[in-house]
Amino acid sequence: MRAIRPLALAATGALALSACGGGESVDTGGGGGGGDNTLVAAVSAQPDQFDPHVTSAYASFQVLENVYDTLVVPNPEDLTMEPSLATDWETSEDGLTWTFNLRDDVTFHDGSEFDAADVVYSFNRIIDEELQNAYRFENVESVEAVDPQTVEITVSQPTPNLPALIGGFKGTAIIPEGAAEEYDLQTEAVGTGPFTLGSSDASTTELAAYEDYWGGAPSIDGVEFRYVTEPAAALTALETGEVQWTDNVPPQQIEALQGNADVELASIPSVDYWYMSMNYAREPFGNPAVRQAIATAIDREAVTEAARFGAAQANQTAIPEGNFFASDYAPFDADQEAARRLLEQSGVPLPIEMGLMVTDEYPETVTAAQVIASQLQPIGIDVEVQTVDFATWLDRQSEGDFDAFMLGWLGNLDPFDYYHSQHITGGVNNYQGYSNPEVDRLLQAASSETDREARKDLYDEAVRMIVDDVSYLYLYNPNVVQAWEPDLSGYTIRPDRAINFEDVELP
Amino acid sequence: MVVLAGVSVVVFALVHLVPGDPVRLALGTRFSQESYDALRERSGLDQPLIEQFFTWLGGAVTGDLGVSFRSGDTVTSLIAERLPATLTLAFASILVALLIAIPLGTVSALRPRSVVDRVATVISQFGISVPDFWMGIVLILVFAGTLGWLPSGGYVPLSEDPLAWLQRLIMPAVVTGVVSGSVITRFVRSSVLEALGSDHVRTAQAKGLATRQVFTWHVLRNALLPLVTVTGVQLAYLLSGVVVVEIVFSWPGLGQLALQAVQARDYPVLQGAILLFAVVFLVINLVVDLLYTAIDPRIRR
Repeated sequence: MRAIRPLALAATGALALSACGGGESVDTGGGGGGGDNTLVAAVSAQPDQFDPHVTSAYASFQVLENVYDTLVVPNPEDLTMEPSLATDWETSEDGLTWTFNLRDDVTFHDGSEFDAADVVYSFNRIIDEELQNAYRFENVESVEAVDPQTVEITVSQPTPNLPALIGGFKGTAIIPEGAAEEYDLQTEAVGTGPFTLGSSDASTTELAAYEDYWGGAPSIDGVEFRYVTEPAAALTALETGEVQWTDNVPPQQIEALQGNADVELASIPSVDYWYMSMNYAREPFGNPAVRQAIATAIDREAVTEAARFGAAQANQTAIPEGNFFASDYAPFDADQEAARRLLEQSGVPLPIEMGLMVTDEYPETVTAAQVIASQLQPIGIDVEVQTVDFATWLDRQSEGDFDAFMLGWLGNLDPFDYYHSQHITGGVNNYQGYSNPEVDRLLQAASSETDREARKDLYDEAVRMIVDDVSYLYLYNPNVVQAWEPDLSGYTIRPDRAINFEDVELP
Repeated sequence: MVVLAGVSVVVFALVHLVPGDPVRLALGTRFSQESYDALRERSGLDQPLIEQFFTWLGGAVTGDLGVSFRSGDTVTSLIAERLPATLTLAFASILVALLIAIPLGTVSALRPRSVVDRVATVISQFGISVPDFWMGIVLILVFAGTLGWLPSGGYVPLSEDPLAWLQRLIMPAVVTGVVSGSVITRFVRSSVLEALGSDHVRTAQAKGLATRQVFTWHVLRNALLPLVTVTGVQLAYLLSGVVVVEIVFSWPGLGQLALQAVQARDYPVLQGAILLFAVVFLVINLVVDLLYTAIDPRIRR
């Protein structure tokens, strides 16, 4: 590795020269950042706080991903669960007892040693205090330390997605026993991850490499997260070398950036999906023919193109293509004639007035809604696009005060995340009021089916009904778009949007 | 004090009247009802509103503005952290604004309807009507991107690195300064014009005083009063945060804090920020009144 360094350095020299051709170089290291070997990353928002069990903000998890560890972790490519703090795990015959064997060479950032008691403490903290991610432990009856290197989790019913629930992201991170009493976890972090949390203020958050990291100390000295909300500023900073990495890339810039030699751009399918949903309790949207007519009239390709400039794949189900659990079911073909016939047959008086609630928190929903409105107008549906702020949006959603809305589900790992609480009768996220006993039966069976193939069949069957009934009107899976300096190496862009700088190398 | 007490009631009522549930926002989209209830209790939102108000007021009187829902930091520390950046930008912008407004307004008043006057009108109209985010992005693309003269944004405290501080201050100060300066230019022009036409100036000219003397002693001094007023208003506006410019230039000022607090319905931070803005307005009004008496002895009577 050391031998190739001078070569890489020479290459950078040439790049730096060409980059500065436009004018005199500026002092860009003055932002309070570390030395030359610190990665500066432009992120779009400031973390709200650093307690992994409390926050729900993506900006916080961008940082926490690099500071904390979980028992298991999604593989960067296909997101199947692989070892992290647990070396391996097994399930009992009846599927009710999970045994996790733990690493014995892990120390926390405060020097204390990691063992089973820390796992028990962390999980029980989430469960007992009903913190943000308590819902992930719904099936968990107990978490116990068998010995310092073994943890046993008992569940009330077979839970094949338990690894995804306890390791899908850093919201279920392992903290040292007693940490919540000993430290102010909202501002301090005591993890086992590759970086320690340094200072954090209104401009930046700084991380330093953790020399005793069990996976081997990172090659870079640290990471400085800079909050740059304006995408044009973030891109300029990347092009001039002020920052080396950013995820604040507007979709409309992707094409222009692909030809830019100063920037390495990656755009890969994510595990997110965006959908529209109609209120079953509001006529005429409780009428399946009306919902099907709308699903038939909408041209998903056009919506996707307008909302994401092509950095997305139109989809009629939730799970993106290529995933083991993906379904290729696609019954609707953007046919306005067929949609009009469906509406006529339904006998519902036209025109239908529909309020479509979207939020400027996610500007792509506003754009998509405008396209949807123009596509539904010809078949006799007058869409009023209602743009509200996210707080109002959430209020109205939970109160059922909407005709229709558009939003997305982000960071899904298991088919359970994609489908369960959204479509099961009375599900916590079934705001549209969908109820189909057959779907309930299939979803319940799938949630505890331990055979992967059989589980996929159950979900496939449920999904066909969900799509046919238009419980959700699925639109598209967006891409994850990130850009970095060409001479940054070792970074892997992930479909779950987790940002991990552990293996990054700077020239 | 009476005003402040009234303000605090209005602030609290307004903030709580805005629809939106901070607990739901904090939890995002995936959570259980139990988590919701637990967080609601922890943040004290399950208490009767009137009780919440007196708890907050009791703290506010002693300088304790409560704790942010989002971050768990005290509101005073969040505000204190952002105050230097806001003060820096506000005063730098006013400086830029006055450097633009006083010469431009005076020159165009001295030669009304001349080419100079027309050009000045066009410039100030441009400054008022061009959106500040657009001006900001153009500056970034040109001076940080193409020319590479300045960093694209951010903030460095003066004490840490004076050069980096200045480099990062220039663009945001120019954008806000141009906007404020355009507004002030209009006032300078009209007040100088008015002073030029007043009786005492004509008398002074009739007495045979030199033009230069007439101008500095009789015109400018009289034109100063409205200038102080409008500058005070602009300063108060700048001190309560210039959200758009702060976002474009990643400037960690109070405007961004207030915006984040609104978006998260972070009541304690929002109340603290609005209360601070109210105090700023009161103080600036007071200072303007004092300046009046210093400039114009007649007011003292």
